[in-house]
Amino acid sequence: MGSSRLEVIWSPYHTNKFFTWGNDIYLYEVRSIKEQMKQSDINISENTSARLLATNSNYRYVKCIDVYPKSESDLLLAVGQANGKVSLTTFGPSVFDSVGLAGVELTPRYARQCNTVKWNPAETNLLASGYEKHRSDHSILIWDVTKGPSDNRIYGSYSSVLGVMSTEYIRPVIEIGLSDIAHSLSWFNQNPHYLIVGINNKNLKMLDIREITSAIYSQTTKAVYGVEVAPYDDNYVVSFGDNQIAVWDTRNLEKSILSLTQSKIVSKVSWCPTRRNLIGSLHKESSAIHLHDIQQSVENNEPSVLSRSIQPGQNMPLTSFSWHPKHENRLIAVSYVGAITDYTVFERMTLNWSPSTHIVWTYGRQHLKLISDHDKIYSNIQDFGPKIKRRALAEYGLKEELWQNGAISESETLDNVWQWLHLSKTLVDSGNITSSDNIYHPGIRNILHIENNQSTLKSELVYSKWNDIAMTVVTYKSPARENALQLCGWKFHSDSTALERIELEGSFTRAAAIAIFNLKLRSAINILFKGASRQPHLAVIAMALSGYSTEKKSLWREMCAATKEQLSDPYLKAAFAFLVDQSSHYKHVLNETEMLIDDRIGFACTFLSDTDLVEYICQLTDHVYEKGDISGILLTGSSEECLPLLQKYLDNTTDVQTVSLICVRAFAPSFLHEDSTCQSWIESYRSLLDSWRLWVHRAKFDILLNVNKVPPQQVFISCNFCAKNTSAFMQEKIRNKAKMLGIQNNDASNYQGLRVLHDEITSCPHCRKPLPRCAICLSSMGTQSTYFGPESKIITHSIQSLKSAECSLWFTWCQTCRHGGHAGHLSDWFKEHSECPVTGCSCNCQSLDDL
Amino acid sequence: MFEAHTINAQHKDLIHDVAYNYYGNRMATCSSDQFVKIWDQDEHGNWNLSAAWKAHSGSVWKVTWAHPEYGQVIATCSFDRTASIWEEIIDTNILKDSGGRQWVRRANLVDSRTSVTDVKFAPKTIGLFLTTCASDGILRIYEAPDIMNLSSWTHQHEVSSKLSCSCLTWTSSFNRLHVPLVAIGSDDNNASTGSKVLIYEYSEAFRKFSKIGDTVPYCFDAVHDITFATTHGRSYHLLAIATKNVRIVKVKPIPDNVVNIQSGASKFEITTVATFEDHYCTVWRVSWNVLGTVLASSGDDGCVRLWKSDKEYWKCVSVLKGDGSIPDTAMASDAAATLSTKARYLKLGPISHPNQVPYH
Repeated sequence: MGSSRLEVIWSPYHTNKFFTWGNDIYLYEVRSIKEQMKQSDINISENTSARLLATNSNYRYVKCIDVYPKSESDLLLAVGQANGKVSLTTFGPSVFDSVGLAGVELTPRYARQCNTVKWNPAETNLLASGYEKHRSDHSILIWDVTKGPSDNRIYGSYSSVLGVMSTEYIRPVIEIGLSDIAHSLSWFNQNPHYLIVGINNKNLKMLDIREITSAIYSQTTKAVYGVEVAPYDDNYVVSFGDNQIAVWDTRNLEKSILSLTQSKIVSKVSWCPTRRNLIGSLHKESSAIHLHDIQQSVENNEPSVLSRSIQPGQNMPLTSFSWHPKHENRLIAVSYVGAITDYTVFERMTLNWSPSTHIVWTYGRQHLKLISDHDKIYSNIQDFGPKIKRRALAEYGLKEELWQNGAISESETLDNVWQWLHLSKTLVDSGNITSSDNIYHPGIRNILHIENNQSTLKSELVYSKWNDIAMTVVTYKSPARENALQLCGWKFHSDSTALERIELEGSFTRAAAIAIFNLKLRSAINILFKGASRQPHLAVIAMALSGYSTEKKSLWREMCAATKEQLSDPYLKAAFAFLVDQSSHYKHVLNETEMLIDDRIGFACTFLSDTDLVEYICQLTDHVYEKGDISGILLTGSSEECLPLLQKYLDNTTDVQTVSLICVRAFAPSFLHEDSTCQSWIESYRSLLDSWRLWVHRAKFDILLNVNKVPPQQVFISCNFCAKNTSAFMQEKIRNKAKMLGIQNNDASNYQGLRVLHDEITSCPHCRKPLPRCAICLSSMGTQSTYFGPESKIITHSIQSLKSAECSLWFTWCQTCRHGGHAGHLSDWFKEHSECPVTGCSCNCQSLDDL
Repeated sequence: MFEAHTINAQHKDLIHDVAYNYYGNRMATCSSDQFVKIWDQDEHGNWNLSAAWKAHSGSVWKVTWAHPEYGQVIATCSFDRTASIWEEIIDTNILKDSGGRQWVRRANLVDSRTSVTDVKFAPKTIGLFLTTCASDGILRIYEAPDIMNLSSWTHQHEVSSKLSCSCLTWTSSFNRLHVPLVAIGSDDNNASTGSKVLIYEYSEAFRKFSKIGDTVPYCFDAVHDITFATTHGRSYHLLAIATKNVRIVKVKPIPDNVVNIQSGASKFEITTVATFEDHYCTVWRVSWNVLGTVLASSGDDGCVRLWKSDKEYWKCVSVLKGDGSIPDTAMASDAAATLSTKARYLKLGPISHPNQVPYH
């Protein structure tokens, strides 16, 4: 029974109706998925569904359909069938019933398959149909459907020949192509008398229906199927045959302007009606639609084509597709199994991400879409950039006291790092720890003199007593270990304030564990009881602790050893591990990696023998190198050993900010300016600040960076007449004054005061010619300035200009024409002018160097 | 529901590229309508069109900004086989309301015999260099010897890759020990022509480009876009590749204590760190955030996807549809209901008519 091959076509004038045909003709309406759904509706895309409106099963063996192009509401279809008949039909009662169009049948003299049927787009009463070959009939018939049998009834004289009862019969108005085969045909849109047909498997013919005796053009080609004139431009025609798609220019049919060889047999081609030069094509047994975007060439050689393929729906072979007549790039595709997909071809999207955290992409041909860090969606991705920017704005790393920087970072790890840098600085400053020349912040390895995994450490074995119980533990002591403990913040022997501080931070278990490691069982229990007010389970822990006995083989030890594994808190685990430990290796304490590295090292420095300690420190160093754990800076200090650690941390986090700030704040300048890695980090961070236009912050960073290396003077003033250096003279003058007053001449704090002291000069000290004048007020540079009160014209009401008012009396000049004057005067001038204020100078000073 | 901000670009055809300047406050777009448009952001964050002009006689593929140190300069490349350098100047002859600003063509580089598919400025650290690549597979490097004179560009190098090039990218690193690298991608569809991503190193001392021996693994499909992340002090470069999937490749220079200084050839360790198939189809563009920690990609599925690494492991952190909305994940995905499931509420019965009988 006929072909089950499904075809699909959009209604040319309804934006939401399409129909498919195979055995029957189905009319669908596209609805938004948000509207009321019926059980029977089929989802055809993520947000549209199709509702079946009507089914027409009057016709069997439907070969081709075209929709009447002129209508407001109802659909009139011309249905070409396998028996050659073309029937006009509607879905249900319609306006066409009254004009007698519905139900009209157009029958050729000899029945054979109708291959194509097309309404004339302008003269809508004309319908062209193309047929298979018959030796005594024409293959292209053009009918005038208004000259129907109702006014001119001709009873079929051929009915007897055909042996078929025929009641009424319309004769075609034009017959073309005797005993030809017409495979496909298409009307021209702008010129409705023209027709292009693919015939006899070898010819493409362009015809004028007013002059049918000879073709306008005829071209031999295999591409005779699916001829279609471009919807917006009559000059272009596409057709296909086998695996070739050919594009023709009708002004010169001799050679196709484009021939696209496809990998498979082509089954359909169609121009996109909403976009110029876009052709969709479908291959046999392919689930993809291929799009060919024809690029017009500049010169007269072959245009090039951008091809891409899209896959509407699941991976099922498609049988047909149809472009939506109006909606941009929308098409509907139908597969062998009958699945319908409503698909919008996305234009290729280009996108970009700006340094100021905007993401932009193109949507369709017209629109750019933008999101920025102000949008909620952006915060969801937790981009690190805005965080770094926030820190930079809060002057992260620029704060005078090192510990202040930690709080800005909003990160516990980084806070600890800055706190430690502060601690080591205070220890060095107070002389508790001696630092070598190049290492401002010595690390544990420096203190313990570990080099190449060897150390000359010599410690004394001490039996330390517990504070509250009669028992001793083996500990080791040496001055170096003492210093190391200080660096870990473990200086509790004399005062317990440090413990209290930890308590205040809310880490009761940490305080308790440290108290235990310092052999203060009672204070540990007290701390836990205090903590119990907030974390009730700590009271139980405290009770357990109080049962600690000195006996080596007690039940308590046995049970604690077994149950401590169930504790989740690393400090409690470590504390119990320490209490029940029989050996003196304390593996369970030292391997508790969730404890802060400070505490682990503090513990190791107290209880491990020299060889064990060195081995443990080396192990730990390797570990932090591998993990890029920045808290490992405690081990390396600000020595060269710190660099691999920072590099690894940077590789993991891209936190170039922290890394470069640590370099600048902690490293010796001599080292910093030598090392290319440090320099590259610093340069990276500076360029980042620059790209965010945080120039003030960058300048502050530069000041820190070059604190011991003031850059040389950049600008000198020399006299116009004698070319001698004027500024050198002035500096000499200042220096002399300073000597007189007994002040160190490069003491910056006194510099400001000195400016007031020195007399302004208004002429060159060498040749006594006047210095340059302000182009506006004509006073010489160096003239004592008069005070511009708040009423003065120069100061406007905006806050910004008040701020700049202090600079408004500075002398400035154009870099190009070298004319200048007081900044305030000039900025007033350039508010209204773009040219230089000096007579005869046409320099556009203002526009240069303008950001 | 979240909606992205929209700018109506009013290009008459497809927009091929959008580029931000160094500060992210100016934007350039280029299109098949042969126009280039410049957009400036005002203090309220709104984007306003500040200039538009017909830049080429063919589709304009790419546009890129030079470092602001060289002025307000962009470079464009086009199907018309040329690349152009444009500078914004002040012309007092122009009406004041446009700020008297105007973009003028400073140079037109006409060496290519085929469509110029990408144009990029080299990182500032090596000077004012412009690189173009074309569908004839040739990478061309131009230098402006005098940065004050943008109309004079000398054609310094020509590197032939023998593959139709579609995109190129430079590494950007401040580390003097890192050799500048330039990677090119090819849209050649033929898998037998080998890797579609080629990386060249630029030796400043010898002023020459040499292909690095190691190839990017498994990249045999047509490459549409390629971008190095800004290195920001990291010891490795990250290269994002848009091909039939999104691919992130790590290019790690191996410190050259042993490498022969004479040959100038460095060693690299190239590993694929992530491959994503989430777009299901061709990926068109990729772009890094400023730190090189998050990657955005756009594909033929009409979505923008964002990728982020969490300790070496990369994953998708966000999906945005082309119109800026977030796809509803709860949406029923099976659009493939079959015809047999539907009911018919209007059915015209077959008419049994003698002349309806099929002929054959």
